[in-house]
Amino acid sequence: MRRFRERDAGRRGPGVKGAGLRGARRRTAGALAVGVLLAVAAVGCANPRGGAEGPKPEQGGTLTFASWHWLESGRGELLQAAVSKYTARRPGVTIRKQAVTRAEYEKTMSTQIGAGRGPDVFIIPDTYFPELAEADALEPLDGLLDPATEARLLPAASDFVVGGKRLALLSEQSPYGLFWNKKLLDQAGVTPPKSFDELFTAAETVHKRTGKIGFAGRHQMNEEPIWWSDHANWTYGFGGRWSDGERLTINSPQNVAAETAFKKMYDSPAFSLGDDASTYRSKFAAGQVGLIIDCATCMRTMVNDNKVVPTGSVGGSAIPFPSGGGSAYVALGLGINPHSRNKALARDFLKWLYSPEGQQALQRVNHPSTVGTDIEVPADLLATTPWVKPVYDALPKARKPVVDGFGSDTPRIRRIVLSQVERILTRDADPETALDQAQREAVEETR
Amino acid sequence: MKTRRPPTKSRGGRVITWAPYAFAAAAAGYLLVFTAIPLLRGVQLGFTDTRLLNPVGGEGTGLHNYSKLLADSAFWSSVWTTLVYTAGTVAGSLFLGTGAALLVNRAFAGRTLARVLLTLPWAVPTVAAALLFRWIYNDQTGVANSATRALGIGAQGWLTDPSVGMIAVLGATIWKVTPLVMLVVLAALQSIPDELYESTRIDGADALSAFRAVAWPALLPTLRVVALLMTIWSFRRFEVIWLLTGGGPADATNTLVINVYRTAFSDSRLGMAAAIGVLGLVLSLAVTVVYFVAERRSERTELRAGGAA
Repeated sequence: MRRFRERDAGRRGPGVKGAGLRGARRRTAGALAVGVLLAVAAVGCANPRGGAEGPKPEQGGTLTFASWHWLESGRGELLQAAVSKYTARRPGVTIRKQAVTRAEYEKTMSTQIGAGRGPDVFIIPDTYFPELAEADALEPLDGLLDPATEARLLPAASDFVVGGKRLALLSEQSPYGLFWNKKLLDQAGVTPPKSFDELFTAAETVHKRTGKIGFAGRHQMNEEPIWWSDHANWTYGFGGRWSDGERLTINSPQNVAAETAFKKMYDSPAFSLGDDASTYRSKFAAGQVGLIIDCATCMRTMVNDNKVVPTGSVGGSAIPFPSGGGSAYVALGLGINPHSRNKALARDFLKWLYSPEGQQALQRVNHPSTVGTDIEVPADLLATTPWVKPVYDALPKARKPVVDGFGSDTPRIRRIVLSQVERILTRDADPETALDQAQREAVEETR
Repeated sequence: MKTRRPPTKSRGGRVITWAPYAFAAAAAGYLLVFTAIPLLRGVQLGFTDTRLLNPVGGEGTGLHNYSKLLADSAFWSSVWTTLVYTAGTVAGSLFLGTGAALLVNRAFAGRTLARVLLTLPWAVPTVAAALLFRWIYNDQTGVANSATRALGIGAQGWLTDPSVGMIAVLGATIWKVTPLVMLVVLAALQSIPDELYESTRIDGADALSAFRAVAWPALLPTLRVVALLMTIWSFRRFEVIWLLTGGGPADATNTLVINVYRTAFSDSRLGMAAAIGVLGLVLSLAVTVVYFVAERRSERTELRAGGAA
């Protein structure tokens, strides 16, 4: 290094004596210091928080609406048709779709909102809501709806109220059920199951006699947030809970029984091992799956315009586990981003969406999920889902997949529990020991 | 007609040319804004409890994140997984890439087509490659299990069994990165003068001896650089692992980068994720330093050997 400097200095010729080099260094250091200051200032300014009321609704504008439903075959078009009814009333308003896949939804929203940006209006999964509420990342919606509409809100609307403040409106409540391909069950000579043992036997029989997949369900960490909701059907179905509201109950005997049953199904050759939801749903739609536990709206997407497995060839029931219909539901909210630059427009849109016209339009999008209020489901819609009645009947017993009393800790508890469930499934860990471990870790994590 | 602005003169009468400073400043500014500042911010975040939804609202927690990580067996398991993945990728891609380069360096009919086919995986977008391998590894309908069944090994849970999960991810990664190694090694092989081979042939050397005497010494510096690059890239590779397994099954492929992503974006713990990132960076630096020390020693040995000769 020294040798290089000497050689370099020699090139500068006589009379320089390093003075120019020192000056150059000073200039470079000065320029760098200015650069650092500018860059730090730029980074500091890159997080504009606050949002604005924006133009009045009658002035028009562009409203960004984020949802994964835009990407769902059939449902995206219905959602587009529904919001078109609003833009027909407000000709100056354009609704811009922000389509994000379900698997990446929470991450994308958190990143955008955390950066002080993001959509104006967005769908909020129930398991994501506590985190948003705790981070003050939702615009309060108290007083948005008139008292008559407030009175018609479904009970699940209270899932989006914190400390008496309404931070989101219930957009839909989707019940889970057990669904089957009638043709495959007939071919295998099995009747719809009424218990876990019957479900297991039916799945194995379908697989043995038809060569198709007997039973399908989520079981992999790369679908972690929604696997948690799906998996709650096993936990609640066996009478378990993740907490009693104050203390975690991850290793309760009911939860151990649920994991033991799930492991038994997972180990069966009849199980759709390795398939993610989009894969096994495509297979169900292609007549390759006998039985499935899924949300009712997902089933509608599978049979929508399906010639191979039309809606009439699907059967449905409450989930036949020991608790007698205990299952999970998925509640989705609609909220306004506090960083929205169009808050007035966003409120106007939500107000319309909860008007009778808006709710009827939304019902066509959501069916067989509910909407936010108790509107009557049109007969023509019910006719498209003849399998949904017993699933609706089980809805009063269903619970949300958020851990009671540990709302914003749910993602961390979810990671801990599902990691242990994965150990049970793939490493043959003893369910009781694995859930004991999850209990210890989760208690430590939430202390 | 434009007149050229005369160069600035300093007080001592020396001519100052601004162009080099302007060029250097542009590069330095870029590095500062897009590398140095985010890196420093990352280091700073590692000492806070910052959450994803409020990246400017974290509070200082001192060394809490680091002490928690260093006492966490899951973190060390993640470090081990990263090392296994890196070693497997580097060894596999160097071996296959060098073999393929030697093969397509020879003259044979259809050589151009073979070169194109062997280069194709590099051109396939990583997302498409990962989806392709998801189908290949599908338990029921995948080609991989059809092959293992035909070989009498029986079906494997490529993406569901922790004991083969890493092999599956390595298979996809090596398939994707080997063409680059092949191209670089091929370029190095083609820079060796034919006269050297001819002289070994005249001396009666067989193909293996010619390879050991001529090709291998010429390839060694190239292979060392490729190995370093592959190591660094493997440390930070994300897409193919995430898309294939998401770090599973049962954390069998949960490398440090996947761990950072999960902690930051699934758990929303930016502070903890930054701490994992910093420890990962330290690991990368350690490997790079080891490489340069080894490289220097090897150069000295070669120089000594040259001097002795």
